[in-house]
Amino acid sequence: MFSKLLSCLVLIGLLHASGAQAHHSFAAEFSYDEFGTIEGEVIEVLFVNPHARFFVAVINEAGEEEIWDTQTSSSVGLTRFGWVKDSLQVGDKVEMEGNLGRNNTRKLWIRKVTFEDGRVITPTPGGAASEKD
Amino acid sequence: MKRINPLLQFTTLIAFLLLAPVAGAQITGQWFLTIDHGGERLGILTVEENQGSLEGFIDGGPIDLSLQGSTIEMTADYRDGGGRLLSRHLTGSVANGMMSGTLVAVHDNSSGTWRAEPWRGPSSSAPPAPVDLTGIWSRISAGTEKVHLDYTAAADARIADYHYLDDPALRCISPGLVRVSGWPYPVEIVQNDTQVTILYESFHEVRRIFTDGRDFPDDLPATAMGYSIGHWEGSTLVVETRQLKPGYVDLAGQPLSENALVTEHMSLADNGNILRSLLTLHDPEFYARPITRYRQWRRTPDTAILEYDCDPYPFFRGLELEGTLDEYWQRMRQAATRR
Repeated sequence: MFSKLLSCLVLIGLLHASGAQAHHSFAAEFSYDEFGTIEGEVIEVLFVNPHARFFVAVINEAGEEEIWDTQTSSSVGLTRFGWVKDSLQVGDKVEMEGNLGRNNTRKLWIRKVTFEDGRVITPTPGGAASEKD
Repeated sequence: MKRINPLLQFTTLIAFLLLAPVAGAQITGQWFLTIDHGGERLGILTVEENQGSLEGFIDGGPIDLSLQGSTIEMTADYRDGGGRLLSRHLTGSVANGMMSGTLVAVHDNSSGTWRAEPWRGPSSSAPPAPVDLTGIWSRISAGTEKVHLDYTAAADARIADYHYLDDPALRCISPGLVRVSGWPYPVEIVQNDTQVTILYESFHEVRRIFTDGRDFPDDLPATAMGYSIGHWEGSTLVVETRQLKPGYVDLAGQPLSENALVTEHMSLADNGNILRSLLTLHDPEFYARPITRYRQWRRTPDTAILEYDCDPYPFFRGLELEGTLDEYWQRMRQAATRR
C-alpha cells in the first residue's frame, strides 16, 4: 500500500525560518537553517494539539521504506488558518517541504504540502485554500 | 597630526570622573520598559549599582549594560516562539529622567525603538474599584521574552539536566500557570462579585480566582495552575497563586519549585480594549530575584474559543520511530524516583 514514489531529500539551505510559531522547543528538535523535501504517502493522521502530526511512508533511494514523522502547528491554530481534519488524509500522496529534524532524524516541520493534483496547502493564515502551485 | 591641548584633556577627564557616578546614580532603580520590535513588548528594567559598577536586569534576568555620560547601551537575550535564543542590542540616551533609543536584533538586523520611564512597582493603596474583565481576549504580546534569569546553583543544575522531551505539554499535560497564562491562544473571562474565572483555550485549563476574602486552604494538593485568591487595588485585580505543582516556567527547563508564589496585576487599558497582566514569580529556591512577564491581550468578542483536543499518541509514536522510547521511559522512571 505504500507509495513507490522515489524519495527526494534536498537541502535547500538557509531559507528564512522566522515563521516558526511552535511554543514548545522547536529549536531543540528542528533546524532553522536546513530545509528538505520528502515525497511519500500519508499513513497516519493526527489532527490534534499540541501539534498536528502526520506519519509519511517514503521510499528511499535504496528502495527501502522509511517512515517520516512530520508535524506542524496545533490543530486549533490550523483550524484558524482554514484547515479541517481532512485537509490531509491517510492515503494522500504528497510532497512536503519544511525544516528538517536536527541530527539527521527523519522529522520534518511542515511549511508546504503539494498534492498529486498540484493543490498546495500551507500552515499559514489562509493557507488552506487548495490552489495549484 | 592634530595636537590635543593637555589642559583640555585634563579638564575632560575630571569632568568625566565627576559626571560618571552622577549619571550612574540617575539610572539606578526600576524602569517601565517599552520595546517596539515587531509589536509592543512591555517589561521591567532594573538597574543596580554593585561595588561601583552598574548591573542591569530585564524581567529578572541579567543583561549587559553600560553607561557613558548620558549614553546607555544594553544587550539582552530573548527567544522566538520556537525557543531559539536571540539577542537585542539597545542603544539610547538618558535625558530628563527618561531613557529612549533604538535597537537592533543581532541575528537578522531587524530594528526597533525602546523607551523607559521610572517605575514604582505595581502596588497601589487605592480603594477597591472593580472593573469588568468579562470577555474573550486574544494575546497580542508575550512581553520581552527574556530567557536567561538570575539562577541559583540549584536552578543551574536542573537546567543542565533538562531535555526538551521533559516538556509535559508535548504529551498533553498542562505546563502550568506561568506558561499557560502566556500561551498564544485566546482566553475567556467570566466575572461576578466573588470570583473571576479564566477559561483558557490551552489545555482546557479553568482558573477560579476567589475574590470573596477567603484565605489559602492548607489541605489541597499542588496543581498545575495552583490556588488563586484575588483582591482589587483600585481598578487593578491583584491575584496571588500558591500551591503550584513543580514544573517549568519556560522552554529551556527553567524550573519552578513547590514553594513558588505568583502575583499577577491585571488591568485594562485603551478604553477597556486591552488587558494587561504583569506576572511576578517569587521562587528564591531557583531565582535570586523575582521574574516578571508582562503580557497583553486585545478584546476580541468575535473570536471562537476552540476545543483543545490534545492527543499524546503521536509524541510516543515519534519516539518509537526514532528508537528512543525505551530511553525516554528510563528517564521518566528516574525522574519519578526523585520526586
